[in-house]
Amino acid sequence: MSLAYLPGASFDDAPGPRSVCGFVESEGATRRLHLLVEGAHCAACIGAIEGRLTADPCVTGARLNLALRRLSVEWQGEARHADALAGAVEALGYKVAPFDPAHLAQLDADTGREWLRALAISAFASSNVMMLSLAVWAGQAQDMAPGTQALFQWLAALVTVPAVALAGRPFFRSALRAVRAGHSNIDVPIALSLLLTVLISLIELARQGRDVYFDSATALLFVLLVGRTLDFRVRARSRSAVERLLMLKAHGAAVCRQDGTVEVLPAEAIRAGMVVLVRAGERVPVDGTVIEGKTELDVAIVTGESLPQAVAPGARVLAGSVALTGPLRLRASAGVEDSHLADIARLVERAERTRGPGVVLADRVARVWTPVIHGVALATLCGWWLFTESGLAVALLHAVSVLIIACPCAIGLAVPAVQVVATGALLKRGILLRAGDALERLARIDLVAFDKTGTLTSGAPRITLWPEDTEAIHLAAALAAASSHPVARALHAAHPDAKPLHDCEEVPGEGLRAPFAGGEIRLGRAAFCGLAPANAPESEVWLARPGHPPARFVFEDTPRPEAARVAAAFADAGLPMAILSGDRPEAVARLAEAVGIGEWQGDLRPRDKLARLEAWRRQERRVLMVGDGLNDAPALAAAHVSASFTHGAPASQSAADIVLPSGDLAALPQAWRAARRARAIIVQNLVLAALYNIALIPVAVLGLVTPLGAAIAMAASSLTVTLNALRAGAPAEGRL
Amino acid sequence: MDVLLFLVPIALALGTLGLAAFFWTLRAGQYDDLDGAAARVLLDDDSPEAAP
Repeated sequence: MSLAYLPGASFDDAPGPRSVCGFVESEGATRRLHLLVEGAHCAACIGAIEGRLTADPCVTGARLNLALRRLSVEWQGEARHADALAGAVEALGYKVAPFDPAHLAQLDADTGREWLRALAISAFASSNVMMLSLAVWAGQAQDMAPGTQALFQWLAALVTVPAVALAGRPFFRSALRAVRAGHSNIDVPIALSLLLTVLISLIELARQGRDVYFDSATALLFVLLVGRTLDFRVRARSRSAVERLLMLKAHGAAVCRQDGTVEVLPAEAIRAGMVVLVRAGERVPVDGTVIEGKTELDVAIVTGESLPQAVAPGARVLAGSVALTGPLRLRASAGVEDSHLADIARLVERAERTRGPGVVLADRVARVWTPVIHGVALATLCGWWLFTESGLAVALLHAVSVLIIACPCAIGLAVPAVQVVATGALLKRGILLRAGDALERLARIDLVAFDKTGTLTSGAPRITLWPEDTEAIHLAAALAAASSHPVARALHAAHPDAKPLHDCEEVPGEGLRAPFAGGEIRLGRAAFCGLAPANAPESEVWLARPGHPPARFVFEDTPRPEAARVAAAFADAGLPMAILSGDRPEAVARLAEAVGIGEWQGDLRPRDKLARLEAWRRQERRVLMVGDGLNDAPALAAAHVSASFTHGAPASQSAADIVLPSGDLAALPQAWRAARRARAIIVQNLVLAALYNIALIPVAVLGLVTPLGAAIAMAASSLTVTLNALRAGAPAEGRL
Repeated sequence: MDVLLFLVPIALALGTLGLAAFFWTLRAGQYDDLDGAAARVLLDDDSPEAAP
């Protein structure tokens, strides 16, 4: 695919569509460029890339960030040297793309630092306050002077108050946002508990009382921040991998000016009427009409049709299709905003609006949990105040101790701990989660809808019926060696030992021909070989040679080897499946039969797929949509949960919740099993946390809780929940 | 027990010093590329023996 930066290529030529010159930042004479480097994994990669770049006399600095796969290079001199530098890295065998901050959903680096800062503050506070509290507890058992106890408590207050104010900000902010929006989330009880604990402890301290809970407040903060920080890091890793994918695929378009010069523009800058050059192997950047050139066009990713189409001057081509065999010169028929691509983007937007944000499990629990606990606390307050002689202050203290003991810690940890372990395990397997609640939604699907081309099939044709004449096969393979057409490649791949023929000529859209003893041999369409086109349902190519009857090859886009097993795995679990395809109905029917999926529809346009998904939504079915094409993007956005592939169209990846490894359909049931397991463990964790509460709340209501007891209960429940969460990473049984 | 009046504040001050040092490393970007830091320790370009 990548044509620019070939080693040894001259960079004085017209810049290719992937020129990086437009991304150079200048500061005086210093130029700076940020590149994404795909394929760098180890120390040797860092050494090779940085070594190669610093060997260039102009370069003043080069540093590769291995976690983000981002290379920053600085040099003195001309901005157009950028292409040479990018070429040098690509010559080492790494794929590069300009780093475009516009593709980043949010600046993860800054948020990551904020979490780490909060974590450090709470770690410092909880360790020091615990040290002081332990001394006080020991002193209460022996005989520490009350003055020393008070000193220690005041010191603890001195550490706790600023620590909670600084490190608790993420929780307060989230809780405030939820309350303002008129609903509750898991951070509301956490924030309330933090505030009340600190407040009541300060009051107790002023009254020289015994019930000072500074250690509980800081430990709660620390444990929750550990969970949140880890959760954020593993998700940011997953997300940045998807963003890298999108950036690697985005590139500009080579526009031909009236004076004949070629200029590279970002795809957004193209207007109707501009002349765009597309080289063989490149993706068409905008919709347009062919004005020069003939090629086979791979439209699988745009429409779902599996077979390449021949295009000639006058034909309309859609953005996203790939010119396979020859270069094209196009006149853009529309700017990017009103192209086919933009239509799809609008459909995706509409689908996302109708889907609406989901409510995650933890927040749903909080919505039930918060009123119950606050009710119990209120009842405790009223009970102690009205029915005992102890007075309002004591009643208030007991009510708050109910809120403290009601363990928002374990509940707050129950979900992130499992997600860290499960997301991390999936990341290792190459499965990227884009949406935070993707696992929760994936666990509850009741229907799986597949796209056909590229998802259930490999997207590359294979010869399924050979002629009986072995010499014909050998000749056809030899002829096919000269072409990069997918059918020719499949033919040659089946017989790689066939020697290429001399003087072979490719006629785009028709076939191949070469001089041969006694005339010419031809490989291609029936008409090209001088035969009447047959009306067979299969796709075919013919080989015609002098003195022999023509030989027929039937080819088909064959299912992925694992497709039938994946379908069987879902069928065994009792999940119904359906195929939604843009391809011809005959081809869809054959595939549906081959992999064993009963329900199928062909000839669907993107909006038809979207309508199908919306109909399912109205029937309250939770659909998992799997697709890799541009035409699947609206359906992916409308589904309950959706999966795309790293080989898929960028639009499908940004619409999907989960991105599976390239061509690896078997990862889908694995992700599903992991999600079900994760959900089961989350539910267990919530039950465990609830059990601690049910056991301890009566103790708190009766006013028997001490700060030491609260600390022990919190540590025990948090540990139980965390240890249980570790099971989410266990390899799913029954590898597929 | 008067010694506590010195020792406890000193302990807290030392802890604060450590926290400040952590903030400095955070601002210096030392946690931005943990994978790279793990790998870079294996590069020995800067040792004199490695030079040809």
